[in-house]
Amino acid sequence: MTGDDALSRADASSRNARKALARGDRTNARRAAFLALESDPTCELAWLVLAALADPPARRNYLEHILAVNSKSQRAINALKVETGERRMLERAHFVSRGNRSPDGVSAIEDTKPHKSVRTPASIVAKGAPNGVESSAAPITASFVRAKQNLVQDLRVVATSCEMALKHAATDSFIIFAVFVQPLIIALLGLYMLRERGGDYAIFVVVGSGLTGLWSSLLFVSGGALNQERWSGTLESLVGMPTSLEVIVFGKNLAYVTQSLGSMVLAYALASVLFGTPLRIAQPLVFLASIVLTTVSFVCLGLLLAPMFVANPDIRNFVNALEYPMYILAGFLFPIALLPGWTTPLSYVLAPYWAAEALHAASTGTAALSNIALDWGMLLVLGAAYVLIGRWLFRVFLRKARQDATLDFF
Amino acid sequence: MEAARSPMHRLAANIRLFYEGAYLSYVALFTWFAPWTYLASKIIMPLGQILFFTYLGTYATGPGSADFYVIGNAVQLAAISGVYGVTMSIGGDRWSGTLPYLFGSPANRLTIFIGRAAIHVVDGMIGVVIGLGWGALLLGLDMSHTDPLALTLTIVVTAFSTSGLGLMLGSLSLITVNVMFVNNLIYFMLLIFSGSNLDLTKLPAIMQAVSQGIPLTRGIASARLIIAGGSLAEVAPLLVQEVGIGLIYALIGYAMFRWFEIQAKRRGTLDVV
Repeated sequence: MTGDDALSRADASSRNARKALARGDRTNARRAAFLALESDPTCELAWLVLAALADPPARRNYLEHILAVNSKSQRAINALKVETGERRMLERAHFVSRGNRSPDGVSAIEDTKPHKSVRTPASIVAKGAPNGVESSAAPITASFVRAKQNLVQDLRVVATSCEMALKHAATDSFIIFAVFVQPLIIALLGLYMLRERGGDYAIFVVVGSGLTGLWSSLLFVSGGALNQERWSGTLESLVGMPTSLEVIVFGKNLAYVTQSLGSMVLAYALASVLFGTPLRIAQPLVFLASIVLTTVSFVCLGLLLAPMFVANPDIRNFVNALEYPMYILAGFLFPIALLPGWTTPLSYVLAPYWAAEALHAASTGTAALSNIALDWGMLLVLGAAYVLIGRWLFRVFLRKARQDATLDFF
Repeated sequence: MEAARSPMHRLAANIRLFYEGAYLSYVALFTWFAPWTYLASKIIMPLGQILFFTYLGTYATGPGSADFYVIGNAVQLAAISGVYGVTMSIGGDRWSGTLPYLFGSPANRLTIFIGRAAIHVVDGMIGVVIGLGWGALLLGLDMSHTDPLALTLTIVVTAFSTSGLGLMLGSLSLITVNVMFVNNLIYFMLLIFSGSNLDLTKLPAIMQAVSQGIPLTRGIASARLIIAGGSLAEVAPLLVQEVGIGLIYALIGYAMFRWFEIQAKRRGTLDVV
């Protein structure tokens, strides 16, 4: 049999497979697809039919294989989008797999043209995933495409979660207290207490009390948000969604932490209006950059806290006890040099400490940029560490909660 | 029937009502008999507050002033039980849907009302003792010149007066949905106005006036005097005034409690939450 004969036989068999799939004859569709692959292991249409017939995990392997052979296969890319997309997309994929005519599904396997390759069907079918040495760039491209799609999807979830959290926060008096009123009272106390120190005490208090708002918000509101879901009976639904829970929590944390930055603005207004203190931020741009990094690191820290709320609803009884220790160890309103020496390492592993260092230095202009850069670096490093540990904790605690069937316990 | 109406039986029934109401409201409210919850709410959180404000205060005015902040915050801890505990004990009936049954019962209202606060007075006293204990243990609070009897009396009186405030707030919680907002606001305002962290004489006149009209202010001042070596006679006027303020708040609270009951029955809004 010549190469051209094999290709034409593969072409005919794959078209038969597609027709069988379209009329719902799954057995003959699978048989014809395998027949096509015997003649041409790279027959794209045959692989697409097998992908349409497969369950989701195997379907992804088939599609990734097509991309490994032909990284520009638009139908495979589209189908992979379906595979990794949201529920609507998944339903379409399911529609195709059942052999019904779906506009997207059918278009994904139409007008195919075989591609040549030296890969054997045995190796492909046995491993169910691309393994070709000769097309090493293709898996990288496929991974990149998949990563990009996942990122876009996650960002969309973060934005939605953030928007919903902000709407909820606007009507919740407890959140309003934690985010705005409490930091304002602490600012008032701080302004009276530190007045005798003179110097830049006012801006120091404004920044410090704002940071207390960020922490209290993260602790009570972000942490409580998951318990709120539990009480509303929606936590199980969130956990069961294709999007990972930490992405949703990230969006919530982002909303609450960003919102609580408003407490700093209020404290600023309080200090300048009530106390008539001239307030000046010594390094505005550096301060702004510090604010951004502070926000990111606080949100990441929230990812470390949230899994604990998933694991144990009783942790809410403990959050009251965690509020002041952070105020103290992070040096929000007084330097940690006042504390016993053994507490210093504890401060160093807390991103809020580095945030306070950077913000106080930028607002009062008491540190060189190199020192602030170190604070920024620590914020980034600790933020990344919190994310990694948080992801691990999410995985462990969610698995345990599923095994023990305690997700809806409160 | 005659026997059931006798004064002795009525007294016995009220005592039973008082005891059961006090005990059950305490157990049901905070589940503080769970060791970890109690540890967090009553031991670690107060320690955090004392440490934070003491370090902040000494940063502002030097290490010599630590006792001022330790005592102020330790006594102020009575408000955890007085404000949060008492308020939630009364307001909790509304949220758990038992208020209609309570108001539908023939039980003596004053007994029910006072019973809700009683155990929180004891709990508040324990909170203050724990706070002072932390101060002595970790922050070098010197209590060697303290008159124990006078200090005990001060703690009892302060816990009582803050519970009076709590009774008033509890009655208010029967008509507001933002009870925790109010509680949190009052608790934090007490940190400013009670003098636990500020020298009241340096505050503006209007703030000083507010300070004189709330519980805790005199209790904290009295505790500071006693721990510095003062006698009971010296602080007696302060304690009498503190009791008076507590009574005024409690009476206002009781009047509100009865008025809300009458209004709610009239309008059919007892179970509106």
